Amino acid sequence: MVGATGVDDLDLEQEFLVEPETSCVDNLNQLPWEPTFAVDVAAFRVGIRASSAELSDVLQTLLRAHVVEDPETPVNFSVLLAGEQRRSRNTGFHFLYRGSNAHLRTRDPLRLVHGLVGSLSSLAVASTGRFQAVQGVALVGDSGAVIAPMTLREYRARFERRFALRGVRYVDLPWVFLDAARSEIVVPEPVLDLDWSVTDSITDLARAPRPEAPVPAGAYPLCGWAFFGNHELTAAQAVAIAARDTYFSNNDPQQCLSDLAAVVSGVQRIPLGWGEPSTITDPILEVVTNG
Amino acid sequence: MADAELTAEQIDVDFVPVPVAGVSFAELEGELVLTAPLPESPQGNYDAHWLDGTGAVVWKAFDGSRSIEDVADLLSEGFDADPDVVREDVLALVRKLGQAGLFEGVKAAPQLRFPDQPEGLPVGTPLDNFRLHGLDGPDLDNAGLHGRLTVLVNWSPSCGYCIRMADSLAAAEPSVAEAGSQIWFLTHGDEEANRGVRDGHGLTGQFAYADGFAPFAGLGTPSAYLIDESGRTASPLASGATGVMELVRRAAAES
Repeated sequence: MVGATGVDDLDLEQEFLVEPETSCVDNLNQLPWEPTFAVDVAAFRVGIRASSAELSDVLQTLLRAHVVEDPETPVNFSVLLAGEQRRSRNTGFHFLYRGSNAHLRTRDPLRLVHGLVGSLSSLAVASTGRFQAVQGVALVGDSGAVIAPMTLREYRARFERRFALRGVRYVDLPWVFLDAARSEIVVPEPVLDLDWSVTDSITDLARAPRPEAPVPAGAYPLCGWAFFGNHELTAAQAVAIAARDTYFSNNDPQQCLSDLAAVVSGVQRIPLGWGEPSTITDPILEVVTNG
Repeated sequence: MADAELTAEQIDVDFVPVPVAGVSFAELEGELVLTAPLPESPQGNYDAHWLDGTGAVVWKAFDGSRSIEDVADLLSEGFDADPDVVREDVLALVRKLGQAGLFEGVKAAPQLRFPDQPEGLPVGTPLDNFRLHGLDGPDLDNAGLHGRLTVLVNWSPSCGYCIRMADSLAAAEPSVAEAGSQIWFLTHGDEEANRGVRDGHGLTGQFAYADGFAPFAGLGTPSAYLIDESGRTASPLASGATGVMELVRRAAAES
C-alpha cells in the first residue's frame, strides 16, 4: 500500500513510511514518550513509540521477531495508555495514533494492541495484492458488513457508542480489505510473527480495563456501501466514488473495476446526510442489523 | 513529448480525442465509469470519472479517428439536435476529460490526492448549536457566522506549522476584513501561550476554545473550513498551511 502514505525514496532494503506533514504532531510529540523502536514489516521499516517503558517493553516483546535496530526510523505509530500521560484529560480511553491522527480509541488495552498489530499486518497484507484495499471503514453487524466513508473513523467518538448499542463494531484496520470476487470484506489473521505470551502483561498495564473485543478475523458478506449525499446515487455514480477510494490490487485494472462495479451494484447503496449522529448511524444500522 | 501536449483550454473542434492506454470502463444502466491511472502516482492509484447517459454516448463515439467536429456532427444528426449546442457540449466534455488525463496529447492538470488525509465534514454541513469560549473576548456562537464568510481555523500555539504561517495570516487579515469576511481561530492549549502567539504575530481574528464543539475532532492543526454566510461548511477540509492560506485568500477575494 505504498500509495497510502508515500514512501521515502531511500536507498535501503526497507523503506520508511512517511507520515503526512500537514497534520500537526507537535502536541503529540510534547508528551513524554519512550524512545521510538523500529520494526520491519513487508518492505517497510516502521517506527513505534509507547507512553511508558513497561508498555514499550511489552510491545517489543510482542513484536520481537520484527524488531530491528535503527534509531533513524521516524515514528509512525504512537501507543498511549490512559492515565499514563498526566497532561491529557484522563477519559479512560487508550489511543493508537498513526502520525498525529487517532486511529483507534478504546478502553480495552488488548484491543489497542490488536489495533497496532492489525495496522502493521495490513502493510503486509496489502502488499500481497490478494484484496482490493478501500479507503474507508468497515462496520460489522449481524447482517454482515457495510463500507462507509473514512469520515466515520475521523468522527468515531461521535458514532461508535450508537453502533455498539446495536452490536455493530468498527473494524480496526487502516483500510477495508475487499474480496470483490466473493463480495466480502476480509479481516485477515495477522501475518506477523508475534509473541502473544505478553497478553496478560498488556491487560495488567491498564487500570480497570474494560473488554471490547475487536472484530474477529474472518470474511463478512458485504450488505451495503454508504456514501455521503442527500440523494440516491445511480449505480455508476456509486461505483465511481468507490473506485476513487480503492487501491486496485493487481495488474488488471479493467478486471478490478468490473469486479468493483459488480460488488457495488449488488449491495445496498446507503445515502448519508450529516447532522445529528442518527442521520449517519440509522441508515447504516438499518442495513447492517436484523431489525 | 511533454512540450507537444495541449492544455485543455487549447483543445478545439479539430482535435481528435484518443483515449490514453490504461483507461478502464464499466457500463451500468447506460452510464459509464472510467478509471485511469493517476499521473505521477504509485501503481494502483486510479482516478475515476462518472459519465451520465449522454456522456456515455459521446465517449463511445471517440473511435480514435473522429475529431470533435466529426463526433458532434454524428450525434447531432443521430439525435436530431442543434449542431452548435452538441459541438459545445462535446468540446466541454473533451476538455474536462482531457484535463483529467484521459486523452493522448492533452496535458493533465495536477490532481493532488492525499489518500491518508482526513476528509473532515462534507461541504454543506450546518454548524449550529455551539458556543465557543472567547480568549479575551466575547463567547462566540453560530449567530456570529451568519451574514459573512468565515475561515474557521483549527489552531494550536504549540504547533510549529501554525507558528510558521502566523505572519502570513496576519498579513492577510486586513484584506479578509475589507472583504467583510472574518477568521476565527478555534484554538487549544494554554491561554498565555495563545496570547503570546496572537500578539507576537499581530493576529487580529477571534481566538476561542471549542468547549465541546468538535468540527475538527481527531484532526490535526493547522486545518480549516470556509464557512458560508448561512453557517454551513463551504469548502472541504483544508489541511496544512497551504490549504488554510488558500481558504483565507478566498475569504479575502469574496465579499
